[in-house]
Amino acid sequence: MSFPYKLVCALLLACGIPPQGLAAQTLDPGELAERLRTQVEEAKIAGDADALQQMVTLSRRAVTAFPEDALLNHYAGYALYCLASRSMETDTDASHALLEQAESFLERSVEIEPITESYALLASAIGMRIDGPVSAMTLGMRSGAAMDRAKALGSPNPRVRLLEGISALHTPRAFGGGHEAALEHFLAAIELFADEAPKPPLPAWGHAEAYAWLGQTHAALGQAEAARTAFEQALELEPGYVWVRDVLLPGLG
Amino acid sequence: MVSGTVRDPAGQPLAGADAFLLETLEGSLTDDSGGFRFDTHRTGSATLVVQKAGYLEVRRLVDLPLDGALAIVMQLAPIALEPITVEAGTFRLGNLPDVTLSDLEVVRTPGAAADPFRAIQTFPGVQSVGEGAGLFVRGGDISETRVLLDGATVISPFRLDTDRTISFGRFDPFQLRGIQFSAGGFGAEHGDALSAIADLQSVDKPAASELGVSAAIGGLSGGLSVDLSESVGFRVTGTRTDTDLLMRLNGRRDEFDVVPKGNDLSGGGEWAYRPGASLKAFVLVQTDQVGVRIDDPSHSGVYSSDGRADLVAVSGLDAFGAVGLKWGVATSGSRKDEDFGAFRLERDDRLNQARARIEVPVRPGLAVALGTELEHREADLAGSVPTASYDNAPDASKTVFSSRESGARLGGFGQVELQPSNVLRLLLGLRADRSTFTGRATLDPRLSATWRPTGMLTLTAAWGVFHQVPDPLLFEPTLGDPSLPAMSARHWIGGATWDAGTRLVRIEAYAKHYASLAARTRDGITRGGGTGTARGLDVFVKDELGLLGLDGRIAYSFIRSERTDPDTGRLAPSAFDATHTLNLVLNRGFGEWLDLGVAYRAATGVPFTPVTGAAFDETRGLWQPVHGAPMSERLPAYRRVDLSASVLQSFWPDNITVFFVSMMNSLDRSNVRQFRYSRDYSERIPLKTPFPRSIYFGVTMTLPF
Repeated sequence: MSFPYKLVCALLLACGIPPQGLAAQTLDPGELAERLRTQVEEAKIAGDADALQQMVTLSRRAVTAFPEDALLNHYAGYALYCLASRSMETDTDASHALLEQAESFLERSVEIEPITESYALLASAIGMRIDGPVSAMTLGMRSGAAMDRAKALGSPNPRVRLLEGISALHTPRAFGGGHEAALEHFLAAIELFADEAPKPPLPAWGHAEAYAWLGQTHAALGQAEAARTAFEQALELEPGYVWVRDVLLPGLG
Repeated sequence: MVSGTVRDPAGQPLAGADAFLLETLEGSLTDDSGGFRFDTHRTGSATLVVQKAGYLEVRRLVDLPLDGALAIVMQLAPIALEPITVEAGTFRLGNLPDVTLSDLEVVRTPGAAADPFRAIQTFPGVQSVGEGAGLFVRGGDISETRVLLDGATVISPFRLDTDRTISFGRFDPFQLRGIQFSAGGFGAEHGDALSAIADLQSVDKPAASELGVSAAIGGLSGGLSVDLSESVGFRVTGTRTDTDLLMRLNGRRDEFDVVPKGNDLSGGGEWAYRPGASLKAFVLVQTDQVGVRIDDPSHSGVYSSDGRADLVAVSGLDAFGAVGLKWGVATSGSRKDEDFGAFRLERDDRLNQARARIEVPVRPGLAVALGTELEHREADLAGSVPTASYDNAPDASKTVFSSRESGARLGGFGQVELQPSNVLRLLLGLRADRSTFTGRATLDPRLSATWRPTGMLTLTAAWGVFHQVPDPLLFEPTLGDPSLPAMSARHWIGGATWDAGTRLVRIEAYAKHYASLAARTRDGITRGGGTGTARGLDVFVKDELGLLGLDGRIAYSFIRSERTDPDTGRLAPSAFDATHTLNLVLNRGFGEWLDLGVAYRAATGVPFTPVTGAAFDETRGLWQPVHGAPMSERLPAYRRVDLSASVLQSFWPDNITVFFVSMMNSLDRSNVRQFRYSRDYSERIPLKTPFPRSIYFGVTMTLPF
């Protein structure tokens, strides 16, 4: 620690003000981001709501310590997004509240640094709050604009295609959604996942999930065998994927 | 081991707060008794952080290991300093006595005909006076509501704004990001307004490039939005309004020689040249025409009106360190030619304006705002008015006038915002204005307080002095009075708001005292020195009835107001005194494509001065009316039910198409808007609403590119 820094710290402490940069001396934001990257995914795969809630808490703490870190803001948004997705069917109001929180972290993330996945998650978090024609007109435009930014940022990204596919599943066919459109996005995502290896702690989520959504889309189209194959491929990647193992696969009958 | 308890300011335990060490992120959530406990290997100095939504974050330096348990008290987060902006089809109230509206709330308000001002009329404090878009607020005349667009005063915010026609607002809701409507007690930054402020903010830069087309039974509109980059974008819209088909469909074509028609061209752009700093421009040019057939006792003929209005407003905001700057320059013009019998008025108005405001956060809980504005107003007035109002035949005796009235107003204000605690906010302001029209300076002290004793309950109070320079026409030397002072009003307001998220209840009581009011008599002569009072109660309830999938709002206003009658000099009920006004608006969405709405509006009839007899004027060969006591009778009660439906569709990728249909006055009630008389005044003939049951429909679509 340099002398001037010590002096500033001493003065701040004397005034009773904790110096903002102090946390940076003992914690590494890159390590925190990697921990969140791994553990949020583990909690999601395990279908463990408590663990996801813990990841939300941890990511909030991490953002408190490093408010200007784009990746930590991304993972805070992603953890909230995963938690919101779990309760979307059972408690819509609570889910929307979590999505609004996710939105603010993701907006902050892209303000700091234009991360493709943050824009795509932002688009999805906004889009998931659409629940009628009025919200479709306002939120739909914002969601579309965020997705356009994600796509404009560079080379094709599997997580962008995955989120586009999920969005297509929840969009009426009349508005460009539907199962066929979703299928196209999921297949493209899977192809892109095969060729990518993001450097930690960059976002790497979504590979097994893409198979899970692909399987659901096949099932909805009456293609039970293709659905089963997709679910099995998801389990090959993530053998402990509770949602696929205990819900989707048994659901095929 | 780190342990302790977290409580709110009242000493109640706070569950679910997150207590953690900033250096290690080790921590725990508090339990139902507010307790937390976690292990750490850290020793020495550390920072304990405690967070919970709705409360201020606590940071405390601790020395590890701790000697004992910590006692943490969390303070409620401060009251938001700005009213909350409306988004995504919902609206909330700010901490000021303001209501905000989104563009979609405007469009979804049945019967509002997508007119922002008509949508504002469904909110509390606005009296139901006729069918026009005018805002008669808490006993105030339409001219007492100052309409701003991006901070610039719009001198003629209504089109077809004449005594003989039904007015409409000049602005399309999709030109607007939001509206902040203040029914009184507003801050010192707003001058030259006696009653209310409608603060319209134009839309920001478009989020995406798109073409838009609308076709309705009353007109055609096309627009282009261009998103040039992350920081630059603009919009241009052109509209042609022609109600010929609408009038024919609804069986009213015969009432007009020229049906209401007009052209609009508007545009706007924004350049966000760095975070927190932007430059914005808005331009509007409009023309409108109408020729309506009128039967008056002394003359039957066509009343014609030909108008043109323009507005150019450039505004900006920036920050220099902690000091915020807002500025704007604008020019607003209006030309209107009216003609009916002996009455003729050619009026050309222009208002050039510049303003600046700085905000300085002195320390936490104390902020100061200072601002100034300079306006130059010019009005060319020419025409004639009948010498006696009852004789309006083209050959009747008339007073001819022609003059140019011009003057300037310089205003300045200072405002201190104090938050001595997290639940109390005080606003202390003082503004001074000097107008060359009146040749006098005015001083307006204003105070408001907001106290939030609990998370959901907010109590508000405001008091203030407000001045407004009379219309330039009233200074005209032939029929006017060049010595008029500024009109003044004192407002007292007290209210409570209960905000439980999806349910909101607001009650506000007020009293207003007017002095130096200026008005014109029936014969067009200006009379100054009028006084008046207004007292009332406004109630507003907004709810989302989850069970039925409905969301809606109810606004009820009670008022007792009186003013000096310019014809007799006596105090009488004001012409805008609709004792009870009730508005109910309900909307329900069905799936992702259909939205239905219903609005019910009921109001006590407004007062009028009856004609009680007539004497025959041999020289003119017509009857001269004898008027009864001023404002001694009321029009029949007003009732109206409006229905609306919109259907959302997409015909190709990224296209959004909205079909809309509305049925105004669905029950076809014949509301009376005024009485006219037979030639000898022996028979009173009700002049019915210009809105019998009418159907309006159209389609609007967007195509991103």
